[in-house]
Amino acid sequence: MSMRNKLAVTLAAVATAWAQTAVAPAASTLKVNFPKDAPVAVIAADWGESRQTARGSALMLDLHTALSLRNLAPRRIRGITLLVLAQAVTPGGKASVSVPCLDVQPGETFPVRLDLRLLRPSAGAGPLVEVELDGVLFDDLSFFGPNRLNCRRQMTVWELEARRDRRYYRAVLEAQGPEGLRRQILELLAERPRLDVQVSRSGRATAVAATHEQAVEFACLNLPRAPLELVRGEAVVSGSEARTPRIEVLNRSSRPVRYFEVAWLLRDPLGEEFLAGAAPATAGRNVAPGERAAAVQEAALRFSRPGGRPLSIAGLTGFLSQAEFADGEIWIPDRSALDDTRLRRVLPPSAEQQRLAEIYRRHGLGALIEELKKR
Amino acid sequence: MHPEESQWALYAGGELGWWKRWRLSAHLRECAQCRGQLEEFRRWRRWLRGNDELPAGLNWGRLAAEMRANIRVGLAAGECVGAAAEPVRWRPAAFALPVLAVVLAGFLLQVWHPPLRRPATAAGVVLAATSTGVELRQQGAALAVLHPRSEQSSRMAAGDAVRTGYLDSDTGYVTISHVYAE
Repeated sequence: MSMRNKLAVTLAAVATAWAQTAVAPAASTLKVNFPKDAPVAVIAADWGESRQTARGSALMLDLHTALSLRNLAPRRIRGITLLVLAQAVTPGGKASVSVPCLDVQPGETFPVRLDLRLLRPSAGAGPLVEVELDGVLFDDLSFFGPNRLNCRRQMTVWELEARRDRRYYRAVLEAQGPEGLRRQILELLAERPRLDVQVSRSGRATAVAATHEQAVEFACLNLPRAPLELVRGEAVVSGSEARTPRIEVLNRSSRPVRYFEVAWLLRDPLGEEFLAGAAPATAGRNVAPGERAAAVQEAALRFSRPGGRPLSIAGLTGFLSQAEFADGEIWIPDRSALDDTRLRRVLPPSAEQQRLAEIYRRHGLGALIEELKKR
Repeated sequence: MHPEESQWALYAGGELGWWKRWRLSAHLRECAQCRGQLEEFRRWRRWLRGNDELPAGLNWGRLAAEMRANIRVGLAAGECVGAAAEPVRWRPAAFALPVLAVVLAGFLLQVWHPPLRRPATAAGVVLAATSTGVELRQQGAALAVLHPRSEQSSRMAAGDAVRTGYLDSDTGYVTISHVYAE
C-alpha cells in the first residue's frame, strides 16, 4: 500500500469512528435524585467512560458511573439499593442495583458502580436515566427509603444470610481451626453450574411453536424447620422452556405468613441440576396456620447454557427459600438445611460467602480470620 | 427431404462432426441429386485451391513504403487529438471523494434518526440475565445493567424480575442487579 493510500485509509477510519462514536454527555444523560432527608449523600460522581454510538437508526448509550456515597446516619449501613428508571427508553421498565453485606460506619464513604447500556430508537431531550434511592438497610435492621421495589425484604434476607454465614464460619474456626476454615472457603470457590435465562411476561419466550409441551410435576424438597410445606407443583415444559411454574404450600407453623418464595431447580437429561428461579407468593394476604397458598411465576422462562447452547428440561425441584411472618420476622434456611449435598452443589454462594472468599483469595487466611472477628 | 446446401458445403470441406457426416453419407448413397450438389462443391474447392496465387509483377518495395507512410500519418493524427484534450486530474478526486462520502454519512447518521423498524417479538417485554448482566428489551429499545466478566456471577429469574450478582474485584463488594417489567 502506498503512503497516499495509507493516509486515505487512516483518514477514512478516523472519520468513521468520529461519526459513529462520541463521548456521551453523561452528566446530563443520567440524573441522580436522592431525597433531601436521605441518610446517604452523593459526594462525587465519576462519569469517566460513558459513550454513545449510532447503531443504524438507533442510538446506543454506555453509561459507566461510579458514585461515591457518604453515610450521613448515626448507624452502620449494611446494604443499599438504587432504583434505575429509563422511562423515555423503556416505559414501565425499571432496574435496580443493590450492594449488600456492607459495613459502612457513620461518616464513611463507599462506592457504588453503575454500568448501564441503553438502546433507544432515536435521540430525545432530557435525562434518559434517573437514579433514585430505593432503600438503605442499617445494622439494627432498620430501613430508610421509599421501598418501591420491595427491596427492604430482600436486603433483610441478604443481611440475615450474611449473619448466618459469618456465625457458621466462626464456629468452623473454633471447632476445626484455620485449616478447617480454609477447606470450607476453598469449597466456595468451586465452579457452580450456571444458566442464562430469558423471561417473557406474556406468551412464549420464543416464537417457535411448541412441539412436545407437557406438564411436569415438581419434586418437593422440604427443608427442616421450614414454616411452610411444599405440597405439589407443576410447570408446562417444552424443550428448554418452562411456563408458569406454580407450587402449592401449606402453612405448618403456628404463625400467619405474609410472604414467601419458592426457589426451584431444573434438571437436564444427564442429571445435572441448576438454580433456575424463585416463584413469589401470589396471595397478597396473610396465609393463616393450616391454610394453603400458591407461589407462581407468571411468565415463560427459557434457559440456555452459557454460549447459547439449549438445555432440555427433564425435571423440576422446589424448596422454600424465604418466608416473612405477619409480624415482619423473616425465615431463611439454616446452614444445616443447606448442607444437603444436592443443594450445596447447585446453590451459588451467598453474597457474604462471596465476599469472604474474595478476602481469602486476595489477602490470605489471616485477613479472613481478622474479618470474621470484626462483627 | 434433402439436407440444406450449407450442410453439403461443410461436408465437402470435412468440417462436420462424425454423427452428421454419417447421416449425410447415408443420404448420399440413396440420393443422386445431393451427390451432384456435393460434387459441385468439391469442384469449387479444387478450383479455389488452384487459383490462390498473388498477381504477377507485384512491387513489394513500393507496397512496404506505402504501408509505412500510412502508419506515420495515423500516429501524427493521434498526437494532434491528444494535445487538444485537457489532462484529467483524477487522482486527487479519487482520494477525496470516498473520504468525503464517509464523513458525510457519519454526519447524517448523527443528526438523522429515522424511526426504528421494531422487530416482531414473541412477547412485548423480554427480560434476560446473561454472563454480562441483566437486560430489559421492549419494542426495539433496551435497558441493561452490565457487570464486568466475573467468575463468581449468579443469575436467575426472581419473581417478576431477572437477577444477576457478581463480585466487584475492584471494591471487594458484591453487586446484585435486577431488571423488572411492569
